[in-house]
Amino acid sequence: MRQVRTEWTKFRTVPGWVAATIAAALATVLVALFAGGSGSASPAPPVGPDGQPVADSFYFVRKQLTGDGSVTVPVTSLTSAAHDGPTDVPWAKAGLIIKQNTEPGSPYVAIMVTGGHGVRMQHGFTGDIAGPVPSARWLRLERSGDTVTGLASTDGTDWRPVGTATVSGPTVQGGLFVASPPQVRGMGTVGTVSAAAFGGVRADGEWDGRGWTSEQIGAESPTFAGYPDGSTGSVKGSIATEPEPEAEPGPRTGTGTGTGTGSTVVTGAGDIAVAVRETLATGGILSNILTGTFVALIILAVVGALFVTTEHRDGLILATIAAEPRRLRVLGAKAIVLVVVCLAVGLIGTFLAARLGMRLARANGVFIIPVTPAQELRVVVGTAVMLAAVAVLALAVGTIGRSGAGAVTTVVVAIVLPYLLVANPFTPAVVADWLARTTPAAAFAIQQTIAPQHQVDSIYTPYVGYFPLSPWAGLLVLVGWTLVALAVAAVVSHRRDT
Amino acid sequence: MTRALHAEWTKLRTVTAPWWLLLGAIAGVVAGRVVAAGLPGVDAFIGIELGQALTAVFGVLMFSGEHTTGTIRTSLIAVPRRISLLTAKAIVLIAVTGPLTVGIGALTAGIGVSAGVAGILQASHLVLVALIGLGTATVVRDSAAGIGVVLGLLYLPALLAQATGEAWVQRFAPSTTEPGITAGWALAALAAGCLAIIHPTNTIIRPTSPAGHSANVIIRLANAIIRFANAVIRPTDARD
Repeated sequence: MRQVRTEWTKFRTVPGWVAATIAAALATVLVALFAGGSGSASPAPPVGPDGQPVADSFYFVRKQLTGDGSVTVPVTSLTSAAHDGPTDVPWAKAGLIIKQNTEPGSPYVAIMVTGGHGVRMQHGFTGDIAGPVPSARWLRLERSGDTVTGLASTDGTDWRPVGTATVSGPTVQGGLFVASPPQVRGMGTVGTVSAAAFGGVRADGEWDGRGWTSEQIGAESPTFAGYPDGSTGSVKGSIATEPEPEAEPGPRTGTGTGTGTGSTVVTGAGDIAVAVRETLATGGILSNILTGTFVALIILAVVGALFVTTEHRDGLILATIAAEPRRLRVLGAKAIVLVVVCLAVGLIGTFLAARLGMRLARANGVFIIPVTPAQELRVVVGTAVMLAAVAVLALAVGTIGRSGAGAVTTVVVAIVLPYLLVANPFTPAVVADWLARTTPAAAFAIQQTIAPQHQVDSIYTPYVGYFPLSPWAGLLVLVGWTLVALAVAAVVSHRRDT
Repeated sequence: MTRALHAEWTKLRTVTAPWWLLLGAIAGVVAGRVVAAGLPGVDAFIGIELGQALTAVFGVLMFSGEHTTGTIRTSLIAVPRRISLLTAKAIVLIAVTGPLTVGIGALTAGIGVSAGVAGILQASHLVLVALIGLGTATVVRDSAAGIGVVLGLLYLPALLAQATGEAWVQRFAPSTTEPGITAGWALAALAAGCLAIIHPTNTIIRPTSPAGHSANVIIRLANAIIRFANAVIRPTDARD
């Protein structure tokens, strides 16, 4: 404890170190203000029930439902194409949807046939339930009160429930839909279009008596990539309404011609899911605003290294060791002082940077993907821990090498260079993934506030903001490096005289 | 001047660390070229990005090393004109790194995407970055702080440009792909070095208290950051 006091006195009586730590916090905030103040206004994407940005664009053939009711349809085929011909789109969707209204972002429940993931029931942009029989082609939605039940069947008679969800409101819109998300190709995505053939539609219950209307939902949404050249959303053939009651005699085949009295081909594009970075090309994320972390990181690495190497250079280390011969105590006390100082600086700087930067960006009309209070707390605390870990890493490397130049070069190159390679679109994905898992730069996962969506095929690389490790695991990689370096420093300083 | 040059050459020649740094830089550039040739779409400049850190450190150590060891006192007794000392260092630095990097540029012209003159121009970036390091070290007079500032100058603009989408931040930064702009930074760093070295408050002999010295270092570091900020902000005004 006395040694901690000694080291604290050494630290606080060097005006330059104190100034530098304050400058580190200030730099974080200034860069956040610069990041928030730059960038042009971007249109806001539709926002889902939980406030998260969503993609909500699809071709909708709909009727109004004013109370309870059900709708049933067989999907006879689903094919997808990009601008250069037919292609497989695993998450192409065709089926039935009941949606609160036609505004993008409003609550919905949908049951669908997908290009490669079988029958699914999805709701509220995040809910995704696999059907019991993936090959089922008959779909049904039943609404009772606010509760909507999705059912699937292979033959149109043996129905199995898939799940339930709620869509509230006195009137809702229901009917057929087709969506076709962009396809990942290399380092980018291309738009796709899908066409589904539906058999006869049967609508029971309090449906609007007028005919079906069709339209592209979310046509102007910034999260909609649009149709590939030469295609457009459409509905071809009349919408056959099957008048028969449910218990129609005779077996039905799952797909093919025996599915009803007509065939309607609906063509659509878009997706219904939480927006991912690729679909939300404009706008920013919190980690962009916190780029100043790098400035703070370099400054604190310099301070951490100098905290021990100046003693070696100026011979003060002899007095230090005369006063406290146990080398481990000296090293530990220095580490404690650095951790406390860096945590304080990191917490204040990151908190102010995040708050002011996001506010400034939003005032500028730039859309920033919202963060929950829990995420913000994690980013602020985690970034402070990251800064403390880097400073202690520099201290340990400085203790080992006794050279400020070597320590600063090692630490900056060990954390900044891997990050640059990871954040470079040209770095091969395997290399980027490996670097983001093993090097100290893995710690930047702590600033990630967007999550990959399993039901969206997209580019989930660190370059666009998705790290392979979870936030705390990534931070733990850096802390691990720091602890290893500290252990080596402890052994080395224990074995030699100074 | 000839004798000052000879002295600088001897100082550089008889220390091993700088040569390892140069070797590492060359390895980085060649590795980058090979990778760029093997993977379509990879920018050949990636090798330069790897190598520039080490040549920058080389430039910093060329001056700050003397402060660490105290050789600076002897050097100034031998060459009292401070500008001459800095000039001699700059000339030796160019004479050593220049042929090496031009050599890499010529040798690897066949490997990488960029051939001939373009490759040599790219490699000349390393010389300019080393000069930025030398100038910065003359101002900061401390190895660790100097390296921190130079690596910050080299890497932060790229990150900032990527995060904000403002491409000019990277274009006008020292790590730009345009040699003219890097040369401007090198000249600015050397000019700052000249001003710092002849400044009356420049106490060449280190203050004995580490506290006082470090305060000096950090205040200079802060000054350097402010200068950097100024330099970054100015181009917007010019463009707007």
